[in-house]
Amino acid sequence: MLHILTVDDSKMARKRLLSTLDTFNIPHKTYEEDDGVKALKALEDSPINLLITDLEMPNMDGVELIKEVRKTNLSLNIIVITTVANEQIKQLLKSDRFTYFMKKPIDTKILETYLKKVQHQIGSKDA
Amino acid sequence: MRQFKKPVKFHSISTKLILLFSLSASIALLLSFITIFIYTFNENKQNRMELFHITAKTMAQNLIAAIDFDDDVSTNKVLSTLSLIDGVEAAFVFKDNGKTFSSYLAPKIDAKTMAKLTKKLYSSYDAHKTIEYIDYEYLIVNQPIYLDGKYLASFCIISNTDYLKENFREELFLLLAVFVFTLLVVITLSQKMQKIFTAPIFKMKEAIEDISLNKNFSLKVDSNTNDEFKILFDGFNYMLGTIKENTLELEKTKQEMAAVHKHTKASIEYAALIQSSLIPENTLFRKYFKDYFSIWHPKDLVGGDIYLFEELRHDDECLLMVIDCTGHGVPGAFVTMLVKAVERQIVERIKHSDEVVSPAKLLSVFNHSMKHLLKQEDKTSVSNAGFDGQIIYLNKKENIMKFASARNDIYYFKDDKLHTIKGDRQSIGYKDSDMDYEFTEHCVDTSNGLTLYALTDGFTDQNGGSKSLPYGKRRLKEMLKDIYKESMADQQEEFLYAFEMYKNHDEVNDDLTVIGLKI
Repeated sequence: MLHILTVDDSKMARKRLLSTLDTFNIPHKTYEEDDGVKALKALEDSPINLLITDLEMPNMDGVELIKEVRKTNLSLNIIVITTVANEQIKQLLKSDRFTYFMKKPIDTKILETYLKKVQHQIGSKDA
Repeated sequence: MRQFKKPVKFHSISTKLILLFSLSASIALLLSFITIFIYTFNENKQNRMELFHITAKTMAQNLIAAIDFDDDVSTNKVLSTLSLIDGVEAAFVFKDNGKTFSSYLAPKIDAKTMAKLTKKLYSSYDAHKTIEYIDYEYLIVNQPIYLDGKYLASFCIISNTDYLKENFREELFLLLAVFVFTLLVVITLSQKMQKIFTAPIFKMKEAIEDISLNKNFSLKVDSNTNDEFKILFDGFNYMLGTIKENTLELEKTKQEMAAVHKHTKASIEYAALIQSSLIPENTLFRKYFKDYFSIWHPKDLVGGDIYLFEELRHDDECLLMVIDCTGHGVPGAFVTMLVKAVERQIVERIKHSDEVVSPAKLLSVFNHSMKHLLKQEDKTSVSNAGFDGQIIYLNKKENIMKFASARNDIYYFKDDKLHTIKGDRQSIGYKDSDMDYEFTEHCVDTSNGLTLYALTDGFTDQNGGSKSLPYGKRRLKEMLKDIYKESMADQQEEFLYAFEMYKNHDEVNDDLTVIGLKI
């Protein structure tokens, strides 16, 4: 089962994303936080296997969060959903094969395909 | 790989040709045989009739004396000779009073039936005349007998038609046997002959399949004949040669284009990297605003929209510019670089002076500089580039915000009321732009806070909805009224959601930039 942590300072964005996830035929449990600091704590406390994060956030932004996560976990699947179509950030994340970049508003079909891929990958690991 | 497939209801051309040949031959044979059959049957019938007619005539001559002398014994004797003729069933001699003078009946023949038949005949025909009658069962010949021009009697011979029927059956059998045999010969010949037509077609089919499977355009199809097929094959070979040449040319062009595309894409991707480096770090906004959001979505990899944020002489003074340059894509991106260069000069000048910052004057400086740099000072200039945009100056120390705008509007909420600062109807830098135009400056007190939005026309001009009409300013204002109290993160989400929902299946029209600030 997918344990998905969504991190976004917009409550509305989190709500919409969780509704979208519920429309997929993928068994999952969701956790939500509104900044990077709280997200790191949630990652320690819960069996998260997919992190979906925004980049622009107070306290700790998405880039810092990813950098912190990668210090201890190189293979956690991460989806970056952001409005910042910033090439520099894309370049920064390009070398990380477990991080996927999506522009807001999210394309639900692409998101579903990616989630199925992650689900398959996690299923293979469990087996 | 694409291959030729047989259609579901496939009928080979060979089968069709065999059927065509056989059917044509069958019809021709059938018509011929029917003609022969009818002719032969009629001939036999005529011969049979002729035989009885001559017999009746001859016997009538021999019977004159016997009838004249009422010698029925002699008459009977003469009539009995008819037993020698196959098929004769009865013969009668009727006197001029209509009564039977003499008769002959073959064994097992019913006399009454014969008499009835004769009476029926005489009721339809004149007994004084020669009668030839035939139906399915009987053949009847009546010969009147005259003596010295006076009617004496009638001599009638009745024969069955067994001979004709037998003859009919034999001929029918023979013709059917010949017909079946000929048909078999025709089918066999058709099978052989169809190859004359189909062999070149199948050869062509195999060649086309080979070409479609293996892309073997070097193939040649040879013809052993000197007919239309040879012309067809020569034309096909010529066409193959042309396709081969064109394919090679196309492949070469494709490779060249792929190389150019790869190179161009790499260039534009790198250009996008450079352009995105002009976009200010959003953390800068945190120093000056309570909350903020920014949306910067070029339509392509690079775009004509840009927003610039500069800290000025102290920590309370900043400058925001939202710029929408000519077009989008690469040309737009070029203009944004020029805008950035001019902006750096302006900012550096402000930083090293005590001048009062005036967004309206800054727009005029941009207007002069852009016209000068792009050589668009007169209307004969080849290029015609420039930008529309807003300049917003904030002085936190003095609690004032100043705006000036070229074309694009600025929206702000103060004391829960929406205010719209309409942009001046004047663009920056274009060759038609008035060099001496003085932009309108607006100033707002920010001591009680306000929420401000500056955006390019990419949002309001986006087509969508059921009629594919632009989103429009009215709809934008309604949305702003609904969301302005939300957190800026939520407002950003609402902007994007509204844009996506309205756009639906329509193409994105233009670059999109929206900046939201809360003081």
